[in-house]
Amino acid sequence: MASTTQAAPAAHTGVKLPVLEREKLILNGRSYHWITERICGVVENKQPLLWWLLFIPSALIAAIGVGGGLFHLVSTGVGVWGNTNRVMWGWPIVNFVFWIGIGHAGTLISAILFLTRQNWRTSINRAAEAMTIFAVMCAGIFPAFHVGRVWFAWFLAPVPNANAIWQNFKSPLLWDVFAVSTYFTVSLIFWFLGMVPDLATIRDRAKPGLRKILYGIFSLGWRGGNRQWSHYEMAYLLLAALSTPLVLSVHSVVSFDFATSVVPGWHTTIFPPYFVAGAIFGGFAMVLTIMVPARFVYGLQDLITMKHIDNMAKIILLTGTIVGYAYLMELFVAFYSGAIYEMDAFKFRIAGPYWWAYAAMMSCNVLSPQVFWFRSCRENLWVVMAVAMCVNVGMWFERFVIIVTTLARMWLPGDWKTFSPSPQDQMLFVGTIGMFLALFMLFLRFLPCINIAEVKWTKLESDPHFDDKEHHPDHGAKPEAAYQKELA
Amino acid sequence: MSKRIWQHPEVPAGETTVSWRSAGQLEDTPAFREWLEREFPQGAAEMADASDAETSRRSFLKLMGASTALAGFGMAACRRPESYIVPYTKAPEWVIPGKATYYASAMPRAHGATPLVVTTFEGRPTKLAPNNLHPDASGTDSFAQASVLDLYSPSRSRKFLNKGKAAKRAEFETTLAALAADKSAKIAFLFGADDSPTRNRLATELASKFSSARFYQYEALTGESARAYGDGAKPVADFSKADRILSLDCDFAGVDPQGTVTPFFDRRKPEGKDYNHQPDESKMNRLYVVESAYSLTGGMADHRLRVAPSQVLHVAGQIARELGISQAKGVDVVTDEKMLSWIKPLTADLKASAGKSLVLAGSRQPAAVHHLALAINAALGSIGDGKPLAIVQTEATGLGSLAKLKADIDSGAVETLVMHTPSNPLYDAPADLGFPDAFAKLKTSIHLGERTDATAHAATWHVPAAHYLESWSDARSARGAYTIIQPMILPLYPDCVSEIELLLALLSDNGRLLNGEGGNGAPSPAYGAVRKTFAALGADGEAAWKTLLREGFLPGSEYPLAAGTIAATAEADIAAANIVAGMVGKGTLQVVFATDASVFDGRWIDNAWLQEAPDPISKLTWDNAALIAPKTAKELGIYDEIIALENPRALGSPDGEGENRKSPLIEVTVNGRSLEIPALVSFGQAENTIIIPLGYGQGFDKEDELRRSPANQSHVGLVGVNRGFNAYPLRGAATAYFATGATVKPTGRRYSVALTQEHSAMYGRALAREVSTIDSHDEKGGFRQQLANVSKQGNDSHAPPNVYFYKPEGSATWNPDKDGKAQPLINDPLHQWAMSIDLSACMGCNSCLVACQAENNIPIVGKEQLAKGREMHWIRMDRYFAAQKDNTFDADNPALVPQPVACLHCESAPCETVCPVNATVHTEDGLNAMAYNRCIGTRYCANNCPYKARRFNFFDYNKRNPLIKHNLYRGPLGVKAVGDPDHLQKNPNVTVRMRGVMEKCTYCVQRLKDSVIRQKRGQKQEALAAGKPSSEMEVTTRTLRVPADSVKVACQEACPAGAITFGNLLDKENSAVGRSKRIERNYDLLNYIGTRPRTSYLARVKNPNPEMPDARFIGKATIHMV
Repeated sequence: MASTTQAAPAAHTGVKLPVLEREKLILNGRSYHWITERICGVVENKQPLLWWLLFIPSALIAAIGVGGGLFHLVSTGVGVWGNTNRVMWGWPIVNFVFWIGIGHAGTLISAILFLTRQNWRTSINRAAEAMTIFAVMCAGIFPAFHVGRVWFAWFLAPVPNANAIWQNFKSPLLWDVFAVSTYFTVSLIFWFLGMVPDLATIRDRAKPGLRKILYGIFSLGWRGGNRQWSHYEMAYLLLAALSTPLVLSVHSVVSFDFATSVVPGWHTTIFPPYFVAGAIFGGFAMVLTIMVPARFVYGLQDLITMKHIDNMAKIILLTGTIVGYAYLMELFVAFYSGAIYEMDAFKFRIAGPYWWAYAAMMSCNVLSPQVFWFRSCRENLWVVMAVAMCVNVGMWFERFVIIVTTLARMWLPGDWKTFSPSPQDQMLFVGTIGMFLALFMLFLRFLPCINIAEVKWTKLESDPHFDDKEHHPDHGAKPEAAYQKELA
Repeated sequence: MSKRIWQHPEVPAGETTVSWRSAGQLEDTPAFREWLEREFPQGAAEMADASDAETSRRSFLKLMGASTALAGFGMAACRRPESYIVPYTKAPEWVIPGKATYYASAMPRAHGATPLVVTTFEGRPTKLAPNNLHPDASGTDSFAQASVLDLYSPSRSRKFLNKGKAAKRAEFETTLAALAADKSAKIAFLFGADDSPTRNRLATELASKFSSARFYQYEALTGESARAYGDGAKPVADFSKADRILSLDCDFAGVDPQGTVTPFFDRRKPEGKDYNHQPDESKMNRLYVVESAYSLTGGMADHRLRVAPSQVLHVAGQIARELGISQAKGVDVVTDEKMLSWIKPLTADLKASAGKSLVLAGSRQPAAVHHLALAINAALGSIGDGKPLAIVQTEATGLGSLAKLKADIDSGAVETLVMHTPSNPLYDAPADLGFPDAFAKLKTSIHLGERTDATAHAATWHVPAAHYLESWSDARSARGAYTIIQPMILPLYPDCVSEIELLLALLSDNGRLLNGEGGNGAPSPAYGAVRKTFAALGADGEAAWKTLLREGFLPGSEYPLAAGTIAATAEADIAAANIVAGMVGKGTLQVVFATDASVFDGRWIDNAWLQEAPDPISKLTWDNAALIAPKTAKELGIYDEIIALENPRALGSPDGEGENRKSPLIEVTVNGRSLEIPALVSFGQAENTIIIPLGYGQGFDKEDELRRSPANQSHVGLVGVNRGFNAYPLRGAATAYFATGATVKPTGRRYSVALTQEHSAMYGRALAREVSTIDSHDEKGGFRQQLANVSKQGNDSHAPPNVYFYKPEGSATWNPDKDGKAQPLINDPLHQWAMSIDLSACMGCNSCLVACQAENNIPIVGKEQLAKGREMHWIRMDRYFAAQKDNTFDADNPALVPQPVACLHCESAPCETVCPVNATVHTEDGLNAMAYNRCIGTRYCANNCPYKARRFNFFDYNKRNPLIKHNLYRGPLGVKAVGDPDHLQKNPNVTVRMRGVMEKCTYCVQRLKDSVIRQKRGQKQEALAAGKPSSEMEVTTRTLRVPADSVKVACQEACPAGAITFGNLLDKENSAVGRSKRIERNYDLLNYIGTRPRTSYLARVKNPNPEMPDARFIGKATIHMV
């Protein structure tokens, strides 16, 4: 893709080698104005029919699945799900880990790639962060409501009470509560803060009325002054630094729920890195799943380019391979431990009653991303979408394998019993998918789905030294900015 | 306590109070106003003067709150449920609310009454325990434990029925009066097989009042033993004197008791009953069992031979022949080499222990087997005083059988029948007897029963019976000790009549029925009748009576010994039976009509605890099924391949697992009648034999899974409806126990079955451990070496030692390290509770499981929930089969080892560290405590429990009736069970758990705390007695510590086998539990994880005969694992 060669600068005296030009992040030399128009247009114009076709069913599914499902659950008891005295955690926790994992890509894109100055992030970070927020919201439903007495869930909060009972800080589940709530809070602030300049843009473009007032409120009096920008950038940088450890910590803590237990198949030290890699893996797949269609629908191909997709495919390949390594290492360690319980746990995963789940996990997570070794596959959006969907499914099955298969075959054969999800289990999971989609549709409808301000920075013209031939002699000819063309 | 009302001082009239927070506010100058607006823009309104009060933030919130509350939101739904507690207006003596009172009583049983101590709270009997003072105390089996629930059963009969329709009491009283007046009535009485001296005395009086009165006895599952032992005579075993025991299909430890069984189990422990001496295999007994399918007794056997039911006679005959018994000549010679090689050393062993060996025949075996067993016992010199077997003469003589009754009705000799038998002859009489037809011919039939079963509906009059906990009566225990049955409560329903009361009404001149409180506060007339009987025993006087009431029995009142001679009919009976057995061709299917471990003969079909208790062998709940050996199932085409005990892929049954498990329905045809019933593969069962438990299928409604047409719905309650399959119609009078010539064909349909345990093998894990007393010259070595290696079996042999980073080794105070310096993990210096479970004695009978359910208010969950794996039993009765691939004698006869698993109270409990809200914590005295109020139900603890000992209340099982279809899923719209009488059974000292909380074994913490409090109160009593102020009394460990072995937990108390030992570890050698922890058989379950459980297991010891062909495969259930 990045193929244009350029001559080496004249000042260079060594061997003259061809220099590869960087792939442009914004194609067709789109101007600042065009970018603003296009992104704000998504918010300001009427939504395409497809938006309605997606939004209405998913909102309905969310209302029935999540609203109705939770009502039935809370009024009746956890028994409406398939959980049993043998498999105490079933689908709810599978779904929790699945959703929380999805969020990770957003934070990775927005925080780590920001700190490492990966400018390509700017086209996708807003949507990925929105995805994080919504995924964590979906995730949060499960652990909050899977408890037997949700009305006492506040016992998890360190609130002084008359009984002088404090939380048990030894419990990974409590760490989880703190990790997930911190993660959600920081992600939300980070997302919102990054959106303030863009909200102000929409406010400025809006006609007086409710719309202007609302965007005005949320843009927090943003005027775009120097002083504001400098504070803003410092705050953004600090938040990015704050978020960065969260990318690693949240899923590590989630993995501690399993790794610190005595359950064979859970009790492994490889879990934290393996879970984090898996989360990034699954998260990027979800970003692709959403962004590839969205860029077509809203005509954002010039902003979310094939380079973005290529980069994400490569990350999927990398993390998928790490995950595959972890799967195999688990097997090796179980074999090497010499403990019959460990060995059996993995034997039953592979060949036991849930062999199909293990097979689905292996083929979707380890085998399917391998096609990304080939550029043609990374460039073919159908293949990319197919792999992304596979990974979404595979990562769900990974959590299923870890949780359900393990619990159904623990230490004493006398308690072995398999698990079947109930219709309510399925209803709530589908409901959260609906909720996720509905929220994402609302996000597209009301908020700038691409970071207008930051995308503009990636344009060459944004470089303060853009016109300075002395210091930037790389560009053979004096480049002409798009706005100059427009003016001319 | 009434709510205290605070009286505030009144504001003096005419005075207005002014409050202010600063001088500025008081003066309210414009300058202050301005400053206020500037500095506290948000607080300005609040600080302003009273004229703005309506719009202040506070008043706004008040208004909002009030309107929210008025709108019905907010806290309206959070109020505690209203309930009313009515105090005694006149407090009965001795009754302290919440404090138990204990009374001696007994449960009448066919094999001898079970002596009981009944726990009552405010007059409600809630829990039964064995009366250990009684000479025939033998724990309590699950039936006895569950019988208290029958008292409160919602489906209990409580109204008179006339031809199946509700009727008035007065109408019945008219009938009764007429009957009592007619002294020439052709009246007959049908009793159960339980022996009641008062009833016997009244029967004599009835016989003299009614000139043509006749008496009969009927229980559905009795055999022909009377033909061998004589009328009213029965064999009673004394297991303490038996070194060698041979059971000929006699489940004496399970459903076919032959006398007090506890001594048998005492001798299964090589260290003696309370672990008092060094292991000594010579003091152990040895059990040989010949049976068709695994029974509880068979599971305990040292040597077990599986034979078809018809072959039991052959084996008995062969043994008799080898002992030179003449009656054996009528029996076919056993030609099978394998069987002979098993029988020969057995006979030699019996002979070698002559006088100390005991042969027991199953009570439902044909008379021929009993004749042979009696002859063998006689030949071995085992009968008599001080010998293992006594033949005792009961008072139940001259009673006709059901067949005789039928004949007498047909001949017109009987026109009126008064029946009180716990069986249900219109349902369970042999099909070819035609009893229902005869019954219909009766002019009057009066049925006294606790259930409105088939007989109740068919009888002209059904009288609701009082429960034995509501009546005055008496009974004889197994050996005949006179035992009192005293009421704990007046009949719950005013119309409930006891057997004695009914007989007394018939005896009276006016026939007036006096029941319950006999009127005007007088006791029931049965009281007087029982006292009269007691006086006739020669122990009259108020003092003797009071002793009887307190201790429950009259010492020295045992049955006299009977002659025990071999009956003259023996040879004829044997020859006849031999013809029947000989007709069985090889490969023909035989059907055993088995006694069910849950419903017995069908009488407990409406007892939810028993229905939910898993069958000890098949682990099936809520239904019965045809049990078939794996090879036979394959041959019959029920399964495509032989079902293996252990599937290396742990895939489980081909029928699915949990809620998806559906067994194939087969059609069994025998005696010309067929039955569709689900098949279940059963290991260790004889091939070509089908076991069908009886007692199910008593009534169906439209909710039935198989859409059987609704029938007899009124015969059963909510518990028993749609439960199982009725096998009684297959049974003929001649084939009451087993039938030959059955055919089976698969129907292609399936039926869901609910099993508590899906996997029967240990999968190479040394969980339930076993050793053998003999050296079979393999790597296991001799008995001592095997004992020494118990704790190293399985993965434990190569598990590294536990290294603690922050806990010193030798954690608790009871086990300090060498220097005595170890800091105790747990600090209570008085009590450190612990338990040990002796697998050598445990047979897996469910008695503990039901006792725990009764003690700890454990709800039932119903079939569907149980199939999912949501049972609430705090004790899970695991049962493992262990097959030996190299077993050359009989590879299809795997060993059976039960293993009850409840919370093991780990010192280093994995559940405790993971609870996020500290709801499960360790107590100072070593319990893993569960704070229900704090539990939010994350269920993490249960996931991390390696023993899966925790139970989660997925629905409000205690509040919502799980037996109504879909009821649990309707949430608040469902039918509530609150107010049903079974809630009266609840133990007030144990929390009734709501939904959404985790629960598990607490070591009966309520009992422990009660004992500690009693001990402390004893301190005070001592001070009072000494007349000193308590501050001057010496307080020592001795005075504060509960005496060794004085507190018993519910499971331990109930266990007939004495397998559970519980106590204070700090008593060390003084307590049985302290001694049990020090013997070599003691091991921790999953020691590998390092949980340091307080409940440990003692490995099972098998005591094989080295001469037996299978000896080297015995006691090796876990051998191939090392």
